[in-house]
Parts: sequence; C-alpha cells; structure tokens
Amino acid sequence: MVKMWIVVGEEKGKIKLVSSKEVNAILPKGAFLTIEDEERKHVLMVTDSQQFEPYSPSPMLADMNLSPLKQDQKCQNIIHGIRIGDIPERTDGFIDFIRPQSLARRSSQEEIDSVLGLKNTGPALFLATVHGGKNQILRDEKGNPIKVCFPTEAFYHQILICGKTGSGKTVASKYLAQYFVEEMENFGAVLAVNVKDVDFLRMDKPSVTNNPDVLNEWKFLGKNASGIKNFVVYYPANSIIPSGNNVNRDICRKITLDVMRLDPEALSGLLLGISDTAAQHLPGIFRKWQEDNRNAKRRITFNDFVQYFARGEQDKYTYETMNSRRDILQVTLPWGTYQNILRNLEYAIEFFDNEDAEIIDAKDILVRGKMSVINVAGEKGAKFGAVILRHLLKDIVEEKRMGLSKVPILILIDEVHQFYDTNSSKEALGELDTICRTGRSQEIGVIFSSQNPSDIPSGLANVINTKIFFKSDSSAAKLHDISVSSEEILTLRKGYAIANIHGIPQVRVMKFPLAFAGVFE
Amino acid sequence: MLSQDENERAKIKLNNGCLIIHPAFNETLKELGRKKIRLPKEVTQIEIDFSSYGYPVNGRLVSGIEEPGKFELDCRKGQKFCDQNKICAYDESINKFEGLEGTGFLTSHSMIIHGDMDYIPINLLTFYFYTRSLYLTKNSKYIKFSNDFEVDSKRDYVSDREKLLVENVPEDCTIFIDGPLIGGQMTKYTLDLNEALLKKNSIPIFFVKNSRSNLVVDNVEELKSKYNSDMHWAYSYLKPGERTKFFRYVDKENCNFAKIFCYLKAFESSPCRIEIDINTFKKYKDEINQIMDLAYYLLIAQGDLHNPQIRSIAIAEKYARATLKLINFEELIKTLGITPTINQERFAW
Repeated sequence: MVKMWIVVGEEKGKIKLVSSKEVNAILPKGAFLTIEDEERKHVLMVTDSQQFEPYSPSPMLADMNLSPLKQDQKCQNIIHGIRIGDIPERTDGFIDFIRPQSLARRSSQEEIDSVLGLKNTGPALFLATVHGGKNQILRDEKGNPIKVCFPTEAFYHQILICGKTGSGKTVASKYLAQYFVEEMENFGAVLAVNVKDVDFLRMDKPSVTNNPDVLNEWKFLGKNASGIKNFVVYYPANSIIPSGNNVNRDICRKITLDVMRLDPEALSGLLLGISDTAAQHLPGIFRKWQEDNRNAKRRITFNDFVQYFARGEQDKYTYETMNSRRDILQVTLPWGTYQNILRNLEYAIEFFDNEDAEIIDAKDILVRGKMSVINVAGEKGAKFGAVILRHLLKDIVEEKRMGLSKVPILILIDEVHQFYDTNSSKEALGELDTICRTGRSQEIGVIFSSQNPSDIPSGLANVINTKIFFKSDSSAAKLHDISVSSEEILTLRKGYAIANIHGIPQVRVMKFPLAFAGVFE
Repeated sequence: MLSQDENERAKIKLNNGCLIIHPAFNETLKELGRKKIRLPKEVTQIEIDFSSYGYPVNGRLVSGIEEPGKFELDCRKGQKFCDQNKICAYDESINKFEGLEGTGFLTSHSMIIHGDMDYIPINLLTFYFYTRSLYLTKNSKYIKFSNDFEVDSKRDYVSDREKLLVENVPEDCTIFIDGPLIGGQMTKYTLDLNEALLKKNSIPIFFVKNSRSNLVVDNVEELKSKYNSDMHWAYSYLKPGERTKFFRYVDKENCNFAKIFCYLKAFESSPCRIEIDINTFKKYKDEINQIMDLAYYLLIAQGDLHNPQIRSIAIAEKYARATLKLINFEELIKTLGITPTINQERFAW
C-alpha cells in the first residue's frame, strides 16, 4: 500500500503534513513529496520531520514494569516541507493553494527531475539524507534510489570539496574526473595534482570492491568498475615513483622544467612562505634574464640563472627587471630577501633541465579523454608542483584564450595551500584567479580539495560556487555558508556529503557513488 | 458532507474509524437559518454532571455480595485481560449555545475500540435546538419545543448514545462507559442500553468520578456520621491498588433499577466508582474480578494522579473533542446565516 501523508495546512510558510496509518516510520529530511490535485502536482521538500505520539501515553506503565497498551504506542510522522515546484507551472501569476486533507506521496524520479529542472546529463549522484545520525539514500515509492545529475555547467563555476581523511573527498574527485574525461559530451581533459601517496596514480585501474551497497549503486546506474583508458602520470625527474604500490610504470613519465620556456610568474611558486614583498620581483628579474639569454648560442640552464642571481651580491643586490609589458626597471633587494631567494633557487635546480625527462605544456594536457596526473608527493614535490602548476595554468589559459584548443579542462588541486599561500591576494594567485573568474567562458573548471577549507586562498573563496562537504567540523562548513548542524556533518558516513551545488541549490545532502576507477577497498 | 440525504447517515471513513453525522444535523441548522434564529458566538463546553444524580431516596443498599473487606487489585492480570479481550469505551463532548430564542446542543458521542495497533474511533455528531416558543416550532420538523431543555436534551443525548453503542459495539467486548448506570431521568435509557449490550455478549462497565453519593456511609451502620460521602470513606479506607467489596443497590419501587458497585482507588487521590448492572454481574460473575484488575491497569495506563480516568475513556474523550473541532461549526452557522451581525445584535430588540 502506498504510504501517504495528509496535508494539515500551512505554518510559517511551510506545509505541515501528518502521516496516514500506512506510514510506520519517519520520512527523513530532504525527502520529496508530491501532492496531486485536479490540475497540477505540487512537489515539496521535507525540511523538518519528527515523531509524534497522538495519545501521549503516561510513562507510569513502563515505570511499573507493565507492558504498554500497544494502541498507545502509535506514532505519526509530522512533516514540514517547502514547496519546490509545481508540475506544470502555473502561468497566470498566481500560486496554487495546497489544500488541507490533500494526500501526499513520495515523489518519483521524474517529478524531482522536473521541479529541479534537471537535465539527464552530468555525473549521477544519489539524493540522500542525514537524519537522527543515520545516513541513507532517498528512495521513491518503488524503493529505487533517487538520483540527481551534477550539472556539467557547475564544473566551470569552480568546486570546493572538503572533508577529513577517509571521508570520501578524494573518491568524489575521482568520480567527477572520470565522468569529465569519459562521459561528458565531446569528452574533456583532466589535470590532477597528486600530493600524497598514490591517491590519483592508479586511475587506469578499475576500482575493486565487494561492498554490496556499492555494487547495487553501480548496478542501478548501469555501470561497472572501469579504469581510465587514456591516463598518464607525470612525475619530476628528480623523484621516483615508489615501487610496490601497484602503479603501472608504463604510464608514468618523467618531466622536467625548461628554464627558457618557463613562464616567469611560475617561478613565484618557489617563494611560498616568503612574505617579503620584495621577493615578488623575482619573476621580473627572471624575465629580464630570460630575455637576455634568448639568443644564446649554448644551452642555457637554470643553474645559469642561479649563478646570475648569486652574482647580484657584487652589484649590491641590484637587478634589472622586465615586467609583462616589457618595461625595463631596476630593483634592489634587501640582503635577507636575496638570501632567501637564492636559497630557494638553489633548492630548485634539480627540477630543471634534466635531459632524460620530457618538458610538458598545455598541449600535452588539453587532449580529449585524457587524464593527466602530476605526482608531486614526496620531498620537494610541493615546490615543483607550485612551479609547474603555475606554468601549466598559464599555458592552458593562453592556449584557450588564443582559441588554439576547445577541449574542456578540469583541474584537480588537492591541498591547494601547498601551492598557493592561504593568504594569497588576487594578484598573487595569478592565472588561478583568472581561471576561476573566466572558467565558464573558457570551459576551464577547478576542483579544490582540502581537509581544511580555511586553507583555501582567501582570494578564491568568492569565486567558488559549488561547495561539497564530507565529514568535517561544522565550523568549516559554516565558514563557507553551508547551513548544517554539528550533528549532521559529524555523522556523515563515507561518501555522504552536504553541499551547495551551483544550479541545484535545493539539493543539500547527497551520496557519491564509488568512483569506477582507482579505488581499492 | 452536510448535503447528504437526510435519510442516510453520512459516514466519513477516518482511518478505519468513522464519523457519523446525525440525519437531522443539516436540517436543524437550515431550519434555524430559515427562521432567522441566531446562535450566540459564545459557546460553552459542558460536561454532563453525573454527580447531581444521587440515588433515589427510596432505594436501599444491600450488602453481602462479597465477604466484608477490601481487595487488592492486580494490574498484571488486568494487562493480560486487556491483551486477550476486546475493549471499548465511550465518552462525549458537548458544546452548548444559549441564545435568546432557545438553546442548541452540539454533541459529539465518541466510542473507541482497542484495535490491533491503534484505537478505532466511531463518532456521532448531533445538533439539537430547543425552544419554549411555539411560534418558532410551528411547522418545524427539527426545532424542538421544550419546557425544560435540560431534561429533553439529556433524553436525546442518552437515546443517541444508545443507538451509537448498540449499533457499533462489537460482540464479546468489555465496554467502559463514562457516567453512572443509575442516575436520574437517564436511568431507564441506560438500563435499556445495558440490556442491549448484554444481548451482544458485551460487558458494560459504568465508570463514575467525582460522585457526592453517600449511599454506603448512610446505610452501613458502623460508617454512619463518620464520613462526608462514600468517596471520603473509600479514600480513607483503601490503599492505592485496592477496591472495596461490591455493594448492591436496589430501588424499592422498581426492582429493575438495581446495580452492583464498588469503589476503586488507583492512586493516592480521589477514588472512583465502578457500577455494573445486576444482570451483567450475574452473567459475567467469573470475569468481574479480572475486569476490576483491567480497570486498575487502564487507570495506571492513563496515569493521571490528580484526575484518575480509564485510559480508554480518556481516548474516547479526546476523539469527542477532536470531532467537535473537525466540524467548523462556527463557519457552518455563518454560512447558513445564523450568526448575528453586529447590527442585528445591537438593534434586534
């Protein structure tokens, strides 16, 4: 028998309903209900749901160790819901009454899709609920999970994924990445930065799980575990991919930086942690040096630049600089800044000019259906990552701006604070800020993933339109205007998230399916 | 709902329960409208005051139904009986409209049955209007002439109660009825009800609170002049979880007006009286003690220390009150033009 709820009336702008006797449980928050009248269907989303005991039995029986009257144990489910939409929408400028005594039932997938204006494209997520400490996927009257497709436009409005270790944020990133390269219309490209372990290095392999819930979810979606076919891992030539971790060596390629092709601004990646504003002159000094050596007859290396910089001591730390407009200026660095920069440059020598390694640029990344991972895990990785990420972002933006590539690109940056200072200004963020602001027109999306959302550079917070929180501290979510209680966010199970997704603000709690690639349970 | 054929009782299914609108309900209201009779906005919720119905002075008390003394009740046995038997209860809720032209009574008769997992309510809603104006009752089928609306309204009340219960009480059940078995003008009707229920093999148990009766203390020699009322005596005599022995009362003039009764104290508060018809007592002699245990169990289930009540009767009362709210009577009489406007109120006489 169909479970029904009966409309009682409206209270403070919300529709109040009470369960009929067929209902023997609480419909959790976030669920959808449909009320049909003669002309239209009205779809509500449950915002409050609680147990109500109509007979208010006395506790005296239990106190005397007597069995209760089973009739007294009757419970009803009192619900408050907000109207999400009507099917079809009324067009005369009025809003329909939702009449008392009307009957409501759980909404079907089609009804939810209709009122949320969902297209059936985009990675499928399951609508879910966190209620009474219990996480579960919402289901329709037939018991089928209710799914919602993550809007593909949302990729280009920037995404933040937060959560504690093991909460599911990396798996979610993998899931979205695989969709982007393999299922999105015309196929996109993904660039991911791997910062720890082998998180993203095994995406060429199908995920392995025996979890029946996961298998059921995949079955419902009509999917199976599958690795990404066009998958390349790039790693700095001065590092190694640790053995024994089941990473396929055949898809790993050493990379290095070419000092003459490196974008000068990328060099500021070496200066993380140096707060001295004078240090920000380094790209200008480097640009001028590059220009001076552009036509050199011998092979120029990064070591040459380090020596050039070191010789500045003889000139009382005064250097010629060239800005992006090619104006030549002069700058004198304080002694401390000079020392700091020199130390960092010497540290970075090994990133450059390795003869047995490739030099990559945007063209290597902007390939339809290809996922590229730059492995910067390990010692010195972050510095290398900070430089190459800047270099590639600049190159990608340039490539797109010039119209040389129409390949959509999704960039996954885990623990972004390792590559950009948390207090980075808009200017210091450089191309990353440009991408975040113009991503939609250029089809460039960025997923920032972090354990701690306060690590996200402050200059970026305003341009991230989709925020997904796995199990975290509630203060973290509130920092990003996600309305959530401590109980809700702390009781999220692996894969469940509370979010504010661009384009579908009504969707709040969701369950990510396990990624089809690169997850081994 | 209110426009159904007057010859049929309208039944609205409510979760397996049902709400019955009396066939004269609509028409009485329409007639008030036609005759421009106004009902006051102020409504009084009334209880039928059973305490005013003392025993007839010509009655006599005959002791000896049981051994002298008091009896401990066993709520666990009561619980078992409750689990194994069909239990019903009855109560009512009344709204009284006292107007210039007469008095209206909107009554919700409420009976509940202990269902498998819920209480199943069956409610009857009636509305009567009584007036001393022959002019108003002339050519009226529904507006009732009455020299004493208190008496006539109670007669209609007990008559409707009997119909509701006889038609709806399931066979082989125990039914708790709020109010006395023997009580003033209602006695004959109540005894008729009792007899009809007995024919259905049901056991009617009448439950009385707040009685000022002094039948025991006036007739038992050793209690004379010591207590204000039977309740006073029972309160002093009983510990919580005990009942008195059964007493028998017989009317001297009409031996059919007879009953068995006892006092039962569930908590350290006012006791209550349980009344059983003599024929019922004879027929179900073996079950009576279990039914007393049941009453004790249901008093505990209700758990109201200050106003002890049988749980099932309390639930029936809840439904009675809810039904009165379910019908938007004020809106209804406004629709029919019965509510006076401000000007009518000011300049009507």
